[in-house]
Amino acid sequence: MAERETPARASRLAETGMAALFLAPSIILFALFFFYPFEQLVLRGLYRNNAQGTNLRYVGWSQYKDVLTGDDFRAGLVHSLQYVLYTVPAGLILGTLLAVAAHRKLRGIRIFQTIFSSTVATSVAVASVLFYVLLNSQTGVLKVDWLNDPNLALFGVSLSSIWQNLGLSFIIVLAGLQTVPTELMEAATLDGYGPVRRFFRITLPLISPVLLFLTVVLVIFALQAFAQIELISRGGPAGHSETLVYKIFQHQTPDQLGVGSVMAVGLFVVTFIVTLAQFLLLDRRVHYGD
Amino acid sequence: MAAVIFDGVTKRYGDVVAVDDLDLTIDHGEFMVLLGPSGCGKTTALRMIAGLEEISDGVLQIGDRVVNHVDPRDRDVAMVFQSYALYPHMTVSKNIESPLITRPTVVEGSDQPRKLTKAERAERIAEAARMLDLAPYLDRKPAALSGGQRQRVALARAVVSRPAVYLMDEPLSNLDAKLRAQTRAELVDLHQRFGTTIVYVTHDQIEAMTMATRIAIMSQGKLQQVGTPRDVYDAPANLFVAQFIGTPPMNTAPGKVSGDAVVVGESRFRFAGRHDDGRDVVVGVRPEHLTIGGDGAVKGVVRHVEWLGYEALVTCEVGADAANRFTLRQDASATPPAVGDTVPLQVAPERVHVFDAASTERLGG
Repeated sequence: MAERETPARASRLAETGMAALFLAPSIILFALFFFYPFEQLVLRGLYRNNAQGTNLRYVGWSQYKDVLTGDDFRAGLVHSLQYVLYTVPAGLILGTLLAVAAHRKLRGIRIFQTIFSSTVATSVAVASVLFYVLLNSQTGVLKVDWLNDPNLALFGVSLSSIWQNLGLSFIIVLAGLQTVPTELMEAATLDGYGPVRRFFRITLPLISPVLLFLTVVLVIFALQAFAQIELISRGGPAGHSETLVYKIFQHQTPDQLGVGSVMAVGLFVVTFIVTLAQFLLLDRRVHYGD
Repeated sequence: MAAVIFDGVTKRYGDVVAVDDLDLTIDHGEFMVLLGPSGCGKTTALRMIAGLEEISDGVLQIGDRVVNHVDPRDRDVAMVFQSYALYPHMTVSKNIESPLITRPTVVEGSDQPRKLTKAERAERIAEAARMLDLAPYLDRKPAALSGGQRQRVALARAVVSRPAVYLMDEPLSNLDAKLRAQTRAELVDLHQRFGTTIVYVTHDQIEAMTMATRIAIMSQGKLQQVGTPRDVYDAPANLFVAQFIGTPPMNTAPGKVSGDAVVVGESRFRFAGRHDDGRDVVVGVRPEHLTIGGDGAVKGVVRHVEWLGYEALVTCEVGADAANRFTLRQDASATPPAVGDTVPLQVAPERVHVFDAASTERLGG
């Protein structure tokens, strides 16, 4: 007996077709601008190039092993993670403090809110030049010599990132605070909670989804930081502020393209794992409301 | 002993006066309902008792203590919010426990409030849960509860610390009609069991009439009348109260006193008592006190008839003025008059309310 299409089956098919149709634009864009370049990147890592940049010879996965276990990659990774440690907690805490300070009904509070969020509209170049000037050992305002100190150069650069991300952190946390109903705060006040307890027991859990989002974004920003390093320290002194991205940049000469590609794939994997870990570890502690 | 005393209390927001020179004494153990339309200042008055609003002028007392500058947590009050204000990230159990954690609580056998031990807190939670049928839900988060259950959690959180005064801000307005009626009865029951003072804010006169021991009616920041539900219904102090209480509201029409009656157009409403001849007044009659029949001293032209099943509402125009519409309730079994008919109307003189036209105050006979 010939198989006949039942109405239910036909409608399911139609539904799948419609779903595919609606998904098509984003899938095509993703394929064009993400999957295809990514595949090219991975493939490039399998080749060693000559000085002209034409593929010289296939070296296979051994290049991945060599680069990813090499000292250069490890040093870059350590600096990148250091950069995360310098910028993310500071950004979260300062952003939250500013947002809490500005989340009140006061005359003229909007002026402060605008000022606090203004760094979001500043370009990396401007922020970098600003901190380059501030941190200049001779003419700088702070009169410090951090940029020439192997232990402090990366920290000095990170200040510009902290400053520049502050506007974004502020806006996101403030938006989070504004979703917390006033009545909950009043109920907590009547329950005998002081301001500190109220913040940690009520506000913080309720804005936790926003803080998780912000953490993930700031970590990705930190792992991707490049322009500020190039403009403020140029990776120096003696490579002590060369993060992974900076190393990838250094390996963009035609003869180093294969090595650079491997590092880029390595950075992608690291970012992916770190982000996934944040969701897995923190998501359980996040309250998403009802 | 009075539980809460407002002595000339005023609340201003800039130029806006939300509560105007309020004098009100709420007795210990009383179920006082603050009733009025939105914007009348009732919620502001309640929030001043809670300490959530500062007092611009006057003195507020809870018990024998002036609390104008006392911190909310030290006022020994608990509040049930209109939105319930449950902590969404805490379980029902933690929500109920919340006021016990930091606030000193009065314990039996001692006058001195102190912080409860963990075991005492657990006992209190269990007791509150039992009382409000929440035992099966203690480990759930508020999002997993129905509206009625959330409302009971909010009540449990209020009763658990056994405060001197309960403050309730329209706690039933988010419930459906059936649940509202049921919860009204539960609240009255709760009040009788504890005998604690309740100050309850609502705009719903049914809630006020059914639960209150006394009602304080407010309008535009001013107290209009305080009295038992019966007082305010039978002898409204002014035209506002007369028209605010009762469904359908009291029928009113402007007229002039002539002898023993108020004259409205061709109609004469006879009243009990005495008023000055020629005085400009407003006459008021409740719909249930007006019937079709009598000697024709009052006449109305039927404008429309609403049949509700258990009764019919007949609306007539009195005194040949379209503005003077008088509604009366007619038994459902009676044959309603036809629209356009002129019918005689009657009302017992002692059921006729007379208000001064200028001041709108009630005129005693």
